[in-house]
Amino acid sequence: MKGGVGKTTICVNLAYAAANAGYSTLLVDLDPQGAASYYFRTKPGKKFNSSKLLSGYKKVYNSIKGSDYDYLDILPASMTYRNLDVELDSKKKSKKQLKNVLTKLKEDYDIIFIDAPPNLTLLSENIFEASDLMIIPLIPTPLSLVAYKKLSEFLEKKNKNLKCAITFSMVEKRREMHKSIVRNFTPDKSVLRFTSIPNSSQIEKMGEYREPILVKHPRSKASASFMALWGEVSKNLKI
Amino acid sequence: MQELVLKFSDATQLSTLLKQFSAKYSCVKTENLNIKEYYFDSFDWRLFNKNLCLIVNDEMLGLFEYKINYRVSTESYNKVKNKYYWNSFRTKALRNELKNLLQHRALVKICKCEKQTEQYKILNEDEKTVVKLSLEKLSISNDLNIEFDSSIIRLQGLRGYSKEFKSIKNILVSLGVEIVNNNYLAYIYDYFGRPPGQFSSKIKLNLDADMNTAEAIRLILSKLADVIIECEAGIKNDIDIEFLHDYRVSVRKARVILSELKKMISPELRDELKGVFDELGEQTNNLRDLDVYLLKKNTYESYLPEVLKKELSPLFDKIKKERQAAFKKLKSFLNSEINKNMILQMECLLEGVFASPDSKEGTKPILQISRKVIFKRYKSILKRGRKIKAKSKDDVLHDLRLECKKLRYLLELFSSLFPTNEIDFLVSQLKIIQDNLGDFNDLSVQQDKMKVYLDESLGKSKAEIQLASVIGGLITSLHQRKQEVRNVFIETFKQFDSKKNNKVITSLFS
Repeated sequence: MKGGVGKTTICVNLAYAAANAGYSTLLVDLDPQGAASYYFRTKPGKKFNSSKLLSGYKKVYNSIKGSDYDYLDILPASMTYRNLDVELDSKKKSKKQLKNVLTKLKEDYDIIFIDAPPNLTLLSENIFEASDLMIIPLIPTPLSLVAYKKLSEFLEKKNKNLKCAITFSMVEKRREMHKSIVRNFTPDKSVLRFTSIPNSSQIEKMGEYREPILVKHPRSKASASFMALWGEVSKNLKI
Repeated sequence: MQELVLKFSDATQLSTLLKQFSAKYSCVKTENLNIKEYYFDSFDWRLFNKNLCLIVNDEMLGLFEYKINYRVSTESYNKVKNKYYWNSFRTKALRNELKNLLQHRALVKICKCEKQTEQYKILNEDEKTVVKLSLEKLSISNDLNIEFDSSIIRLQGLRGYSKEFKSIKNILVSLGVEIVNNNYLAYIYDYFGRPPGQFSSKIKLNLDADMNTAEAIRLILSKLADVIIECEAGIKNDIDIEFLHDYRVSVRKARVILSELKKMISPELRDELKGVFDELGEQTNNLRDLDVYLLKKNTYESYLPEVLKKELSPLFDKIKKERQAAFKKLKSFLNSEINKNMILQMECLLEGVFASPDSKEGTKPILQISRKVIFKRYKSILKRGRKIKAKSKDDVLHDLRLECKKLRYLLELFSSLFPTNEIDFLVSQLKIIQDNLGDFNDLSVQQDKMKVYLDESLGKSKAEIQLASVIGGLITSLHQRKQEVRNVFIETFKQFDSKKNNKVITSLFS
């Protein structure tokens, strides 16, 4: 629901970890800001837009780009995705449009990561519907916990069966508030708790060097956290 | 994914090339690699035809989708083998990928490739890799000591960047760099005398409708003879049982052509050729039967209760020994002067060296004649099949099976003369009845053979009594299954004898 919590960073590094483990991987960037696409230096085709995303498998398939890394492809974001909610609203079975497209793509890829935009919209519901596992990054602050509670109530009503996992991101070990929240947080029964990601200047600089941190600083603590996170993701998805 | 192999001569050419990119692209070296790899595929290129390759290198063996560098599945190994079957691998993923694709076919070593590689990536203005380029010094050899060295540029496109790939290609071509292949594997394999993807036991024929029948017969028989000759080495080296199967299918097809179109070539030519193909078929019967029985081990065990399963082992030990003897005998025949002379005779006959004048019938266009023989065979099948009742003797089903096989071969061999969709449809319809009749025949033959083994195993020792009882149980099971298959024949035949099928066949062949 909130921006700037580390969704894209986690998505980018998990996608790289999956590909590096030999899984055929697709990262779908659905955030019109296109941060994930930016990290991988990919741009959408000139004619690709939100209508084409929803029109079906063939047009989406033809718009996928190879990243610089083996086994990792990207479906870059388009600025026109800011209209996606409106377009989805006009369609029948408006919550399942994305699932229809992604189901076919699952035949070509072992795993698909979706970098979702912040806030709860019809697009979000499409993403929930299409997903097997949702990772919810939270910065360990009281406000994040409030936002998480609202999300949790929303999911309880709309997508009971979606498996969710919390990961605390940008965790600063020296801050008492962070330490306390991380230590004391208890997720709801069906929600998983995954490895926390530390705050790191190396992660912050990803926007400068435009590579997954697993490539740039493979031996860093941040990279170790992402690898542990990937381990938890792959175990839970049983791949 | 796009790829190209281009000729590359020396370092000065490289630096000129790299300067040419600088206007639109930058070129960055990533790494130097020294690699030694072994490439494996089946004799009939089952992996290559699916853009796959089994590669064994210093670290692991794996199945790769070569064009997109996709590692389907890998595992570690101790020693490089000379051949692999689908069940040679430990990992489930590899076995599952290869089981349906290979069935009984072996993967054999095509070549060893040692390469010194300089890897580059070509970047756009956003520093995104758009094309991968590698300079490779290749040293390639196979087990027959055929070797070659080559220096190449290998270009590999990235998904979604086909314009950039084309642009790089055009720059290279404009500098006089020669494209030698658009498939890296094909470029390597081409050196070893067997163009990749070219061999298939299902011969590819493009018959001209106006071609005279005698000439068409010669063409078909020549292609079948090529398959027979190509399969010999695989049989002699006992690589896999499919070589013998392909050999025999080609012999059978040749015999069908000679019998169905007997008036179309001179009697002397026909008789000589028939003599050769009959002999080749006869020599291979026993070994093929034994190969098939050995494949049945798991199936036969599944027919028996748990307590009797392991008692079947002595039977299969016996069959294995018989198989070894039959293999030795066939190998000896294939290496004999008799066989070599027969093959030479066949080749000469087919090249028309000793040709007698063709018959008048043989000058008729092949389209006309093929229609006639196919329709005639179809009507014969309908006539025979419709007469078969629940109490008809087994022989009539066996005869019908042979008729269906002839029709199937005729449809396949003359398929290029008719619309593909209709032929594929008819073959699929024919397959339904052939499967039923084939199962019936197999069960009959197996039952008879098991009776022979039963008679041979009758004795007083405990082991002999045990074996006899197991074989007895097996015969009973085979008989029951044979009856089940027989019971569905009439319904199955009705599906074949349908109005739709009749309409298609009549429109194409009458």
